[in-house]
Amino acid sequence: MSLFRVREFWTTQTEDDEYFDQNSMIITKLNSDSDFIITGSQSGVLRIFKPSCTLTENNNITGFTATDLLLEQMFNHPILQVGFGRLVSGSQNTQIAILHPRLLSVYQLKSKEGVTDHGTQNYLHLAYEHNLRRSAANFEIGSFGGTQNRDFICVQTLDGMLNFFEQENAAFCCFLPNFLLPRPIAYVKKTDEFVTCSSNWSIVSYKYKDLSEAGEASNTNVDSSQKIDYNWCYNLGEDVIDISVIDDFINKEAWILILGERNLFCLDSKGKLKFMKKLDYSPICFNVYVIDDRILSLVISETSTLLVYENTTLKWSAQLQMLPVAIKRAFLNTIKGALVLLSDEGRLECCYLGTEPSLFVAPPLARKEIDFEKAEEELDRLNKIINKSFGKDAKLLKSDTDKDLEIQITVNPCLLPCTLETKLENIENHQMCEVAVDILPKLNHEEVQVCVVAQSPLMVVPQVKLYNELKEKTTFTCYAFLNDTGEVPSLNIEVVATVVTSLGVPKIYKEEAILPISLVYQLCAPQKESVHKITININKSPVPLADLFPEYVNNETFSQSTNAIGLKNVSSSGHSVTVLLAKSSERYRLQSDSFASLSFLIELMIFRLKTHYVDHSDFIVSYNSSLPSNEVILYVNNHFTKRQMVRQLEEELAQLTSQFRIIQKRLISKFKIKNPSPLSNLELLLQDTYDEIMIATDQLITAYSELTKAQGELSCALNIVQNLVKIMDINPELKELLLSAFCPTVDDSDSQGWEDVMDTTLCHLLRTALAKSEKDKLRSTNTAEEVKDITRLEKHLNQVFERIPKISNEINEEFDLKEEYSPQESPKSPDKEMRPVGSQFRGNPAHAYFLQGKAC
Amino acid sequence: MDPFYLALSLFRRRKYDKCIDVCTSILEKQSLDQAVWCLKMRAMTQRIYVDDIESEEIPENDFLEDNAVATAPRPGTSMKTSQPPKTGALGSRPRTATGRPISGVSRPGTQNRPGTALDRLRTARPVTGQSARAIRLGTAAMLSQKEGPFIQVSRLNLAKYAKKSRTYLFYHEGDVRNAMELAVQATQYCDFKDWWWKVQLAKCYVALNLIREAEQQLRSVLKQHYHVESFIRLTRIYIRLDQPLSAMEICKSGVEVFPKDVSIMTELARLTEALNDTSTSVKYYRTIVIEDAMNTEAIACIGMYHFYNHQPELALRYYRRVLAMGAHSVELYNNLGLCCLYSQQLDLTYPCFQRALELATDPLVRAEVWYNLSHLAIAAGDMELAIRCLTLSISLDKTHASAYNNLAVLHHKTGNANLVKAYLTSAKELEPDLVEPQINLGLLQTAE
Repeated sequence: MSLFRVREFWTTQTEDDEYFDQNSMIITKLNSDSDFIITGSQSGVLRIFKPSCTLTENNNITGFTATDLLLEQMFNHPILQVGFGRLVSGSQNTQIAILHPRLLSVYQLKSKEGVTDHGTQNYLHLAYEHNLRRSAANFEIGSFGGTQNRDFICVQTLDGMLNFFEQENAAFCCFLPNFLLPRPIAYVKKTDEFVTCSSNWSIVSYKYKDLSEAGEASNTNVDSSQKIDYNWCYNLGEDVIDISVIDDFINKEAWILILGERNLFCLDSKGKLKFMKKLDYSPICFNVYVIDDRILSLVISETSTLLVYENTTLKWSAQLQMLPVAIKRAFLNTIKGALVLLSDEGRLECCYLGTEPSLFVAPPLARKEIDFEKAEEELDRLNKIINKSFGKDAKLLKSDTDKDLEIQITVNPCLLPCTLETKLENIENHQMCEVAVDILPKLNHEEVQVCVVAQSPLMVVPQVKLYNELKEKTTFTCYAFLNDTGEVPSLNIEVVATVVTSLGVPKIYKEEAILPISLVYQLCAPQKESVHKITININKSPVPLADLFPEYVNNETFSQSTNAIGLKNVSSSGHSVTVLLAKSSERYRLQSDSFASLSFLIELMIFRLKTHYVDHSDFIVSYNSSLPSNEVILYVNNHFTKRQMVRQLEEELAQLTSQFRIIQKRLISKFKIKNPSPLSNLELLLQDTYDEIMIATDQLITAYSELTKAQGELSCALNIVQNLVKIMDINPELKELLLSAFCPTVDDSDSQGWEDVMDTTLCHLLRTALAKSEKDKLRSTNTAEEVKDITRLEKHLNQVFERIPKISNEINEEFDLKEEYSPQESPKSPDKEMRPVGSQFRGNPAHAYFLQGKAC
Repeated sequence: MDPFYLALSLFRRRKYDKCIDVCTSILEKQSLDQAVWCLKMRAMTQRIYVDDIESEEIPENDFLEDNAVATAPRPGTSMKTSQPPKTGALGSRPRTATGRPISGVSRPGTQNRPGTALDRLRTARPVTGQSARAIRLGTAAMLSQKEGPFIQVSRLNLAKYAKKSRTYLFYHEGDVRNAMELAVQATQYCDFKDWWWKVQLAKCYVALNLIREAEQQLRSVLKQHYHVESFIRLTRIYIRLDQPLSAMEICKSGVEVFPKDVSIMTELARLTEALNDTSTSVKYYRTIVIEDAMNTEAIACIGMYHFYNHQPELALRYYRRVLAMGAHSVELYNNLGLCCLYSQQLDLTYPCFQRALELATDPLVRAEVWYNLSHLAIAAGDMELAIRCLTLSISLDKTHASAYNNLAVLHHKTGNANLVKAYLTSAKELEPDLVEPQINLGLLQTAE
């Protein structure tokens, strides 16, 4: 990111498949007045350029011309580095040094003047060459040892040997200590030292004198591995990309600039930090120079940005066209201090900074000119759709008169042997029932989820299926079977389809069906006398039991004429149930030793009787005696005790686990202490607590299963009550209220138990619909508090059961009104409206506060 | 050319994958070449290197966290009890759900809202937050390398390879424990003189949530050697210990050693911002901009400061500068749009928001843009549109409390009192610290 862009005025590109690196380019005056650019590629091509760059009439600079390339020569070996210096003895001229992997050669550039520019002939004259015994990495040229007017070469090999060449002579060689990978090496003239990065990421400096002494010693005695001591060392803590040494003549100091992987460092010649700059980007290469006493560094970032720092202050930043591997400065005829950039793939550019803005142009928005009429039409259309689906939030809840989706349930009466895994053990002839759900969508639905629910201990597999983009009729097949022991409250299954329509409106459709009775019950001998009896009356001639239970006919004990039938659970849990038909009095008696077991049978009987007389509109099934309050209370009591037990165990577990955590915390802080202190038996405590938690968890698991059983039984009892209320002859409005009060699903959430809800509901009923006196209406409103004393609930339940038949005969108009004005809403009467309050604060305008816009 | 030289050159030119390939082929021939082995390791580390200072996340509300010094700190001595702004809450700079003022740039932990999807994704045990993250970085790399572990710590020649191996272990393998073992051995080997190892040891301690030990190491580093990074790391540790004053002190001593250092000053500016001292924070940011005119974070934060100081024109200039520098993001266009709106340059407002919407892909960010667009609609007096915008915002981000609040206010004009109450309640539930819904609810109640 930058405001400006670098302007290039001279560009050239090499052929394909040539690669360059950091050391592949140098800028040198080579015995003339302006700079030459010399590049050597890893394919072994050496090029010498001299950008002519003259100003044309309209103040433009001429770009690359063919005559700018003075020389192009192919060598047999790759060129690793190029360098220059006064390398030939007795000559004051500058020569070019070329490093090949195993060869170091020094050349002299010579030119034969021609008549015209392009007539000039340049060629390289080999001065001398040194063969290298080891593969070279890089070299450094300088007047080592303070020699005047001549330069020596120091070649670093890949395995850390420094070879010194005093012009034509090989002087000595020595190994760097602790060497691992070849790193940049630089020579500091002021102190006659070599600076490089050691393998443990610190900058070390070696005196030339020490190196030469070590070299001499190893020359005389090959075995002596004399360790070379460093002069100073600066711990950098990161890898080095490049090292550069510059002389500051004003301060008479040599600055060592080091480009690390994350920071830029500046050390003085004694290894003390002058400044460092943390770079918030990855640097690639850099170049440093001094103007007066200001150190200027040009750093190239990985994102092709050139950043110019004066010490640590950012002076300029500009975007480059390419990502270079090397950057140098050149003094050309017309332009002083031009930037020369060389890319990895051989693009060579001369640039200046300039103030051309790096205009970032965002891609244009893909939008057409709006046709206002059409847009308005579209807006109207969309508004209509929005208003239709979202206009008023209440609208969403209303069920649509036209059904967009139909569900048909087909329960296959033929049972199949159960192949699915159940919790039941040792059960013969276990069967399952196929349920096919047909979904007939009339519109396109985005998502349809079908869920088949059966009350435990019945189970349906697979239970849920999700359809996307449902368009045509689909059938979802699942299997229902008995999964567990326990009383069966009901044989009903419920299919719920949750739908997201193509408009994005969620809807729910529900259907119910009854599973075949033979799935759960089998025939047994009828019992004459039982503890619990319920009698159902009808007003038509009684239907023979064989007609009511056709699935059991053809059995040995049950034939057309029998007046009693006994049924028992296939999982042999619960008690058997008997249905007796009193021929003369149009009554059926259902009896069993267990009240809960009657639940499904009552439901089934009513259903079957009604279907049998479906053509007779005056047919009535009725129940005339009082509701069986004692039995219900028994189950309520049981459920309550079980729930209290679970509660208690849960609390205990919570306490134990928090104790466990505290011990853990204590232990951690003990372990963290520097000087270890005795654990003071905390570990025993930890183990003990752990054991106790395990015990409590086991108990809780049993308690949960007992609670589930109790819930099942309670749900059976409630189901009986509900079914009986349904056929009782009472005021239909009251019936509605009662039915919603005795909802057979028993839910115990963490914060609210079934009793709490039930008590509130009963109180509300007693206060309103079943109120006997004025005193009752003044009863305190109970807002779903936790029930602690079960006897109160029992009392309320009894009261409700007692009052039902009494009111049932008189038609009470009053309670309609009462209910409407009741100040308290019960959770079971959701049809009540909230009082409209909107009109009240319209009069005195409230000042509402807006939140400000939020910038991100 | 010598293949080893080629590998070196490839490494220098940042072609790490190729470099690894070359190294592998060399190692197949000469399996004991230590230099090549080391180069391969470096390349593998470098390939997945992340600047862990910038990406460091501070786990919040840890149950086993007992590092904080005081449980009930005095006002001003902790991030949690930093002095509230004096301007009064209404109309001031919005805060994140954790109560810190919203910052000009998004960094880890600056803009999180509890209940967003990102928050829920996090592991339940924040103790391991940092190391889990590091391990995830590591496993990603491990997938591409099937030969099995590359280093056996016990056999290392400490003097030579240790540093490189350590970074490898820490970044590449995510094996903090081994990295730490190595660091401990190496520190002893260097007679406790090498500052770098101490920093690494501290890094390991931080990853293992042993903050106090890390502090000790870094303290001793600073006695030995000055490095910008050490100052920043120690500052981070004090922030983690909830001691902003100590952190500030470290920063200030850091600035004395490295005058005008941008990284340390940024740290200072962030810290003061988190402490609700925005004017000081902006002062630091201004110094940063003088030192480094390309620092987007500083420019954006100054812009933000002006925006919430009711100087949208000035803010606009800063944001335009960021735009000119080549940033091209939803947030920037969104902020430009808002500045234009409040500085009455209405012709530019729509295009800015249009661009923001076009660029926004993240639903949470999109929700913010729609939220801001609702303000445009309100300014234009188009209530219908404003309601639509807010509904869109909520549909994208169901936890946007401010949108709920504003929607409630708009619906209040239509007189739908139940809806208003519902919206306000959900706003209050989503962000209990937000003042506006509470005041509005109060107003409703008194009106009744």
